[in-house]
Amino acid sequence: MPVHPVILVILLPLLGMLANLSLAHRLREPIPGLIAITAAGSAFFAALWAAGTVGAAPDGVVHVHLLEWIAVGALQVPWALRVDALSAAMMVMITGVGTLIHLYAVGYMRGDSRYARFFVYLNLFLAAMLLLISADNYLVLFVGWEGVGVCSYLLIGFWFDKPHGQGVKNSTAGRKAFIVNRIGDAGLLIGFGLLFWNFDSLQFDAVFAGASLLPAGDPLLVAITIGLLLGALGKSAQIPLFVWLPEAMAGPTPVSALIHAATMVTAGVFLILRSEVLFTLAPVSQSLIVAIGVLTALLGASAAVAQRDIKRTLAYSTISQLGFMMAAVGMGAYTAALFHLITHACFKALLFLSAGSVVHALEGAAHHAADSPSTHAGQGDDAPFPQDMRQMGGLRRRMPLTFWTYTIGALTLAGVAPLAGYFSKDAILGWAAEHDPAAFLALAAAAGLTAFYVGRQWIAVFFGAPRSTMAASAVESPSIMTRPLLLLAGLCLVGGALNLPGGGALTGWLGAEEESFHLSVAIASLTLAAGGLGLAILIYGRAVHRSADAVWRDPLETRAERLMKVMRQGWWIDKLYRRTFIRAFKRMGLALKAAEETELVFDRLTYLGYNRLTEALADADETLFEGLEHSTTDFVQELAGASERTQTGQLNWNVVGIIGGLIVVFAIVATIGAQR
Amino acid sequence: MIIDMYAAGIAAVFGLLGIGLYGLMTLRNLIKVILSLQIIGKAAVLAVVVAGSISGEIAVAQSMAASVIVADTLVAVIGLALAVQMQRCHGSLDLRTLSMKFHTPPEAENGG
Amino acid sequence: MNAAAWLISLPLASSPLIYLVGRLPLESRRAARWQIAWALSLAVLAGMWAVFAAAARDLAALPAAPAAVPALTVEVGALSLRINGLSLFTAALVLGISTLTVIFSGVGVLGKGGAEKYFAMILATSGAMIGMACAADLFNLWLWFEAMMIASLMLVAFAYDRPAALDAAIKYLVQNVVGSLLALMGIALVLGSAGSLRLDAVLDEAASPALLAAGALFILGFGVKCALVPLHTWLPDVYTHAPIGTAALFSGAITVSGLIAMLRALAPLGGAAEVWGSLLLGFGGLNIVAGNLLALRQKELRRLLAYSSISHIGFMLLALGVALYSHETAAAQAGLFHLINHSVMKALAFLTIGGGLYSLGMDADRPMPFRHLRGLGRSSPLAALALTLAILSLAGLPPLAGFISKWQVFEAGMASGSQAAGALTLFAALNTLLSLAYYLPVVMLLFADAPADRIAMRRPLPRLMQIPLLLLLALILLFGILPDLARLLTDPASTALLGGFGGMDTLTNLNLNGGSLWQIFY
Repeated sequence: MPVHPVILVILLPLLGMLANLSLAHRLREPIPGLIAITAAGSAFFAALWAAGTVGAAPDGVVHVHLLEWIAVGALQVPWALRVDALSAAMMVMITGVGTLIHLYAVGYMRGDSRYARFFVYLNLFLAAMLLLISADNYLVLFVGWEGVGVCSYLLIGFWFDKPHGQGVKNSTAGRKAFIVNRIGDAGLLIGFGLLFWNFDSLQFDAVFAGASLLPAGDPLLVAITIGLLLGALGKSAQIPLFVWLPEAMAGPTPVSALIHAATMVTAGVFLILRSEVLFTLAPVSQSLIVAIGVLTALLGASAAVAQRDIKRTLAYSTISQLGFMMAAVGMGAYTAALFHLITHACFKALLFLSAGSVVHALEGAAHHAADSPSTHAGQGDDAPFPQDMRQMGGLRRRMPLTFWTYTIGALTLAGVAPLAGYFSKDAILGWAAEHDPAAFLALAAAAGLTAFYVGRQWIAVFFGAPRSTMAASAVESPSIMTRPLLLLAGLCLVGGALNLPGGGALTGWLGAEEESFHLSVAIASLTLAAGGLGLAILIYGRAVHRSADAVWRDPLETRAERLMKVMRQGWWIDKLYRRTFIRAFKRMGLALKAAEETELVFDRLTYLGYNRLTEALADADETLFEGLEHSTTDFVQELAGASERTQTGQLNWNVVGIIGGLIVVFAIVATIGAQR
Repeated sequence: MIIDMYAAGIAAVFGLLGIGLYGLMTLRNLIKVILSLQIIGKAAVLAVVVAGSISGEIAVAQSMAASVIVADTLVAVIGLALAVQMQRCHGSLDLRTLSMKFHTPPEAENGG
Repeated sequence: MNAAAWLISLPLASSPLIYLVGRLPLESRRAARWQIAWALSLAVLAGMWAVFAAAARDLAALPAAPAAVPALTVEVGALSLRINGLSLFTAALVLGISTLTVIFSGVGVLGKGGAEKYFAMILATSGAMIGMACAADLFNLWLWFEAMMIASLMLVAFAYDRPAALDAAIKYLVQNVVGSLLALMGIALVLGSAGSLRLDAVLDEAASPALLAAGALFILGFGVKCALVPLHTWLPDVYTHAPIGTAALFSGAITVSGLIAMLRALAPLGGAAEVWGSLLLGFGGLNIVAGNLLALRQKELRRLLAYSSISHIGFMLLALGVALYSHETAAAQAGLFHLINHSVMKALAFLTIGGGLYSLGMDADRPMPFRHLRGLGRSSPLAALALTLAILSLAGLPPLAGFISKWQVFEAGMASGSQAAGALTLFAALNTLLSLAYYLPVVMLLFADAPADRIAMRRPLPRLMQIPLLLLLALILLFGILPDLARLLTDPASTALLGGFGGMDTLTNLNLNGGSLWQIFY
């Protein structure tokens, strides 16, 4: 069989990783980045090539069998890949956005002490993500699934050694992400187990064929899909497992953009898209997904309204947008969900990278100010925290390029026509209006909130007067960072063309029939976007200009301080977990630990008369043995001393003993064996 | 496959074993020592799997490998727990300094 | 009949239960929580003894077939367990030592809380050891061995807040894991070249390079646990810094179970028995010399006993090496007899040290420097007597048990007909004299004078501690006077051992399953 390009798609990032891993100590700064970019970029072209083969394949599916893996009894799991419309679309998106983010990271990570390692992780992540989406059975998918989880963990805690407790916070955030995801993975594994148990296979086609023989709503299918769903909820940060994502922002910004916005977090949505057949047959799970998606969309959007941290706003926005996708897959709007997944990857990556550009500029300014004590010494009452929007403002003039790319990203997220986000969100809303009016209303409200919070952020960051010395002295980021921003902004401008209403390319590509465009819905969603943005400008536009003393005052916070606080902390869900599960767990541990020993009771048993006997023996003269002590010769003593010196008590040396024994015994056995 | 999988597997077993033993001989940090142990463990798992595929007893080998991985993980968990405890009461993970503390030559201690 | 399953599942299943019971808030005026756990452990051990007796009876009732080792086989799911003479021997050893250790620890001899963990882990270790002796294939053998290692590691690391104990635990962990992984590679070699892991089938092509390498890996891998000399370095630290009950359990059962595992694993490679026999002989000589030399200048009793263990393992290796080399049942019997005696003597010695530490008011996981021994004869005569007899027996003085078994080992070595084995035996006998040089000063110290006020400060030994000491003392005297009593265990065990190596036809003149002697258990 000729080598299929999909192998290259996975292999190239892996090679990039290996190259960086083995050469990391030798290479000077930009080289590891360039290697990683080359790997990611060539994977992109390989992905295009692979996508090209889909059309020619029978049924539009290419199966690539790499190696035998597990073959025990009925369990036959090979390393096999699958390229079809869904995985090809994801593949192109991931490698494309990934390459741009790699480019950006070269600038962003400049001067970092673990520069090469960062790119090792990034390339490893790409390889794992690509394996996830191009797997041909659930187990290979799971390998990718766990691989991206590990990379996420490694990259969230990438700056684990930052001073002032920040490093500890970062690594805690990484652990939290890993552990929360693990809860979901337990469900996923149970789902896999049930799949194999009932269908004797983990291969997608075989499972789907087996499942479609069952009647819709079969309890088995409900159990399986709920297991899979649990995994998806963890990975895609949905209620109730979303709590890790806001804290995952502790990682470097390119990581937030690539892993925690554009690609990895969509893996949950992808899993459901991939298992579409199963979910379609389980209406109970479908409606559960819709409920969770809608609730998450609302929760995320409302929490984003109250954030002060530029990246946390975007994190909650991601949660909310993932809720949109979840709701869409729950309602059966698979094409719309994939469409929104792809456009979201573009505009959220753009927003994150622009935000990163802002943070980078502020960090640079703060660093600069710290170096020259003469400027503004003692003026700022707050410690400089470059991600805090309260310390920004007025960056429109200082960072014009970032401002414009951010504006495009914000408008796309808000859903302003004719940008990409408008079409994809409209596709979901249109479908919802047709199939589930209640969900439509909730999603529309979330869409309005979305426009509002993105407008709030846009104004807080770029308008008004600079509210800190950092913001006042920030300079535009280098071109290696702004160029990917421009490219992504271009994608956001034209991305809607991917699936214009009325026979779009994506719908045709996926071979789906579903279409739902309603003029009324389109107008309503535009109105919502405009209304949300307008409201934000109305409230915050005046606020930033009115405050002459250059201090951030949030008009909503002065009105509804308590509500805003609850929303800022993610509706206290995290706190709830801490109060219930974590506290209960800790209590349990302490209860097990707290065993207080009391004095023993078994005091008096029978007394045997042996003490008398021994006393008699004890009187034996000690001098009897005196002579013996010195009777060993000097020679033996010498020998004893010498052998004692070999007992160093050092583990390394002990292992040398083991290895020495190994060699000697093998030599003896070989000699005897040769004689026989 | 063009490469002889068996030969490659056996070579990998020896490679991993060598790396692990070398690590055990040279490293002092407990966590790195545990890593070395894990590498040797992987060599053993690989050896089992290769042996199973050579003799055609792949099902036996797979179930053995799974059990070995579990046992290996237990060892790692306990080792790391010891590492936590060592950091707590010794203040470092350097095995050499820990052992030096207790390996006083018998002459130094006044007996009798 | 599934005695094997009971002997293994009873302790393993009750181990977490005991731990939990020890944690329950069941405070009463009469007993602390850990004491409930203690009583429960004793109950479990009593149950195991009952099962053991039943198994012994059933095994004895099997008809003696001339060409097969008598064995009771049971299949539990995919797990196959087999009780033969050697398994019964191991079970008796393990049960005996752990029962006595548990009884001894009922006084609160551990310096800190968490005694329920301790009892739970003793039971888990015992269960795993018996499982190791009953496993019917190599891989199960390895799994039980590994389980035993992990459970016993918890016993070593019990005082995990003391750096010395941590140091010992880390060395134990690292060296033994390397050993067991080497053994696993040996198993992989057997699987790869023979395709079968059964322990009861002697492989034909035993002299093929792969199987020879496998045997070498078994000897080294399991040899770490039973302290073959260049691999022994973890042992003195563990014996010195673990809680005293752990030390007793290690010296009495865990260390020698490495030897049993090694012999069982070598059985399928019986075609090259004389290779393994000569290797064991070599290691035996090395162990005897190195153990004695290293013990010579110790000033701390537990470390001294650790090195003496190394040399005693040398004696066992010597006898078992002769047994494999020349297929002598008498030699195997001597080796196994010495194994029992060594366990009894060492358990007695360590438990007595525990009593001594207790009477000094010290934690049981402390070392025992010689200076603390001074005057023990006056303050705690029973302890002094026990320690004296244990040490004299270790030194091999008649009429104690250690003398008889050493004598049998020498006899077997001289009767083997091999010049090398004879020379080695002579050398070992000379070493016994050397060992007096470090044993006797200890005895002397026990009866030396100490300041009266220091003696007055010491606590008397509680009765509960005295029971195991007395029992072990009785055994030392009994085996010294009536050595044939031990043949109850060693006869079927050595038959099973050598029969496993494929030499059944030469053993026909032997009482195959201990015959009617087992009727004792009716």
